Amino acid sequence: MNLLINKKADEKYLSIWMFLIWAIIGVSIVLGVLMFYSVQGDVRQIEAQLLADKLSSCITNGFNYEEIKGSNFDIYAKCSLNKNVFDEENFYYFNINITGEGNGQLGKIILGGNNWKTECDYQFLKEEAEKENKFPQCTRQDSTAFDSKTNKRYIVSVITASNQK
Amino acid sequence: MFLILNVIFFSIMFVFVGSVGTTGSFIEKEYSRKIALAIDKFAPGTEVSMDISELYSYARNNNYAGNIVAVDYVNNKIIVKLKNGEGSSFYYFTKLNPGAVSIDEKKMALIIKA
Repeated sequence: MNLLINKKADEKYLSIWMFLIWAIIGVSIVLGVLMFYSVQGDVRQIEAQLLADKLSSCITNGFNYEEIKGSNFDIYAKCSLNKNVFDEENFYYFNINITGEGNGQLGKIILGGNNWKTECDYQFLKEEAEKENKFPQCTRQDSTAFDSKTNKRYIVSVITASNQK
Repeated sequence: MFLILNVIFFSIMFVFVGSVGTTGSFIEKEYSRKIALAIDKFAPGTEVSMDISELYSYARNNNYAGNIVAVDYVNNKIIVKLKNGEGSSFYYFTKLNPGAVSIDEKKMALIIKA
């Protein structure tokens, strides 16, 4: 109690330093909140996964290697994709690699959109936490397809990427 | 004076943090992405209904009576607008037939026929 005797409240001057500290705190909070919401709005990985799912399922369901191998095979028509978006916008990429199971013999490569193979290969080498945010977000999906006409199995490897922010 | 200014400053910060996620432009951005991802997710032949009553209430608060959700079938783009201006747009990659996305105004729902 003795400590409080003869003590008076003191009011410091509002110095320029105090306003500077408020400005730093305010700017940090605003930047933090905006960064948080921009990360939440980043759906590139989900989009890449959806594209991989779509391509993988439409190729493996009722797989017909002769049809896919043909020169007039149209992946966009087969998988209900809009070709214009892949050709004109810099948002998507896909690479479908079909190989014979067991022998690893290259069957066919189907490409679409931007060529982001290098960026995707680089991302696949990195751990999740080390991924480059400026690069397109990529995903890879391998599945097995059975051609009932030839009784042969194939590995369908799909790599997709999205860079729509 | 020092205390009062501190209280005012931190109140403004609290209000900012609490309200920024619910501003019209964030909601426009969120729904344009949600709708585009829904279109890309479902297999052909699927019909999906999405509740957009939140969009109606925001548009009403902004006195906006135009199209809340529009689809550009040529450029594969979803446009969500809650006020006059450009709104927020997001591309989808699935090929949709014109008229595949419609709004049930009574139920305040978006109907997507993938």
